[in-house]
Amino acid sequence: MNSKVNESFSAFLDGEASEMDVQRLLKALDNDPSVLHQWEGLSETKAIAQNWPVVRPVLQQDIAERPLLQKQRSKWLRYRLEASVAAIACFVVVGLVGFGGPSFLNSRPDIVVSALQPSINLEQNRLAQQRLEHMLKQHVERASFSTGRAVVPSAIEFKIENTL
Amino acid sequence: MADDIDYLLVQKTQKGDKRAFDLLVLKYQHRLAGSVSRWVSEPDLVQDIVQESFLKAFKAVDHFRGDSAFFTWLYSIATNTAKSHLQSAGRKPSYRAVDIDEFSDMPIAGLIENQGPMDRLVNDQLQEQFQLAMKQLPDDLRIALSLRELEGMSYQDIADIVQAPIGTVRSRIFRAREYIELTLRSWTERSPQAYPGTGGAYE
Repeated sequence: MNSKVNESFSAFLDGEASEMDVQRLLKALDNDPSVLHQWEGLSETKAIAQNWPVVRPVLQQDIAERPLLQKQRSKWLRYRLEASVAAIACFVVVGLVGFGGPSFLNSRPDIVVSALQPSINLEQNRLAQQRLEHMLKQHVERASFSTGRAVVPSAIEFKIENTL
Repeated sequence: MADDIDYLLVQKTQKGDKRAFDLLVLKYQHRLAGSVSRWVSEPDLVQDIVQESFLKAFKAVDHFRGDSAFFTWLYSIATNTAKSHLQSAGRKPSYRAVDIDEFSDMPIAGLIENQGPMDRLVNDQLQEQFQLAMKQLPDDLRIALSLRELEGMSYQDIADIVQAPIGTVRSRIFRAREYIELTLRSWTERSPQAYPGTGGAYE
């Protein structure tokens, strides 16, 4: 192995490496990942000199791959979830379009039509007003029986405002 | 400088470059083991705590913002991990764990007394071989490595003392380490049972 790279690693162990040293180390790792195991020897030599316990090498790739695998799994789950939501949304839209047909999508034109035909609209309003008055009068009469208060339904006026 | 380089490697790790984290592991695993072994006496348990601490550090590396040195952050993770193990040890009497607060300042040499006879023998033999290898080194290499490892001097300080360019000092320290590594490897190959603990170049 290139001794210049090993020298960079030795300096790195001492906290004396430059950015260029680090780039050199990373490049060496790119070319040959097994250099990590060769550098373990230098790392252990320093440990012995410092009287640190020499631990078995922490398997970096194991450490790195486990969380990475979990990340990939969680990403995959997220994609699946997103795809499911998208599929459900598509299904709902397509289903509603299928049930409602063109009239569902064109619900606004009803308003447009009524605006273009004021006579029909006025007649609909009149009928709706009658239905509302009838319903409310019934309600008020029933309420007066239960509360005992005298109510004169004919004195009450209910109106639907013409929105046009 | 060291903190900057460590932070650079952390940033690379945060961007998904796991080789960068590998370098940090190689740099700090034994030092961390030294810290952990102040609290826990069993070599296997030290090993477990160190591995678990690095695993936790890797998982949490996105949260590291460089407010402290990387080793300080790692050390705090290891402290918490060791505490968890000590709590477990309360339920597992086979662990001869010691209290972190009580022993946080205990020198490693003092802890060695807590090791088993075999661990002590291995450690003694290893230190003996290391000293022998040091004696065999040429003076310039031995002085450079001694000033670095025993006195903890920076490369610049050593360069000033030995009146040599800093690049020369750097090279001498590396060559000294390389020689010692080869010597120890040769020794373990002759007597592998004497140094069963390592999984690196000495096996």
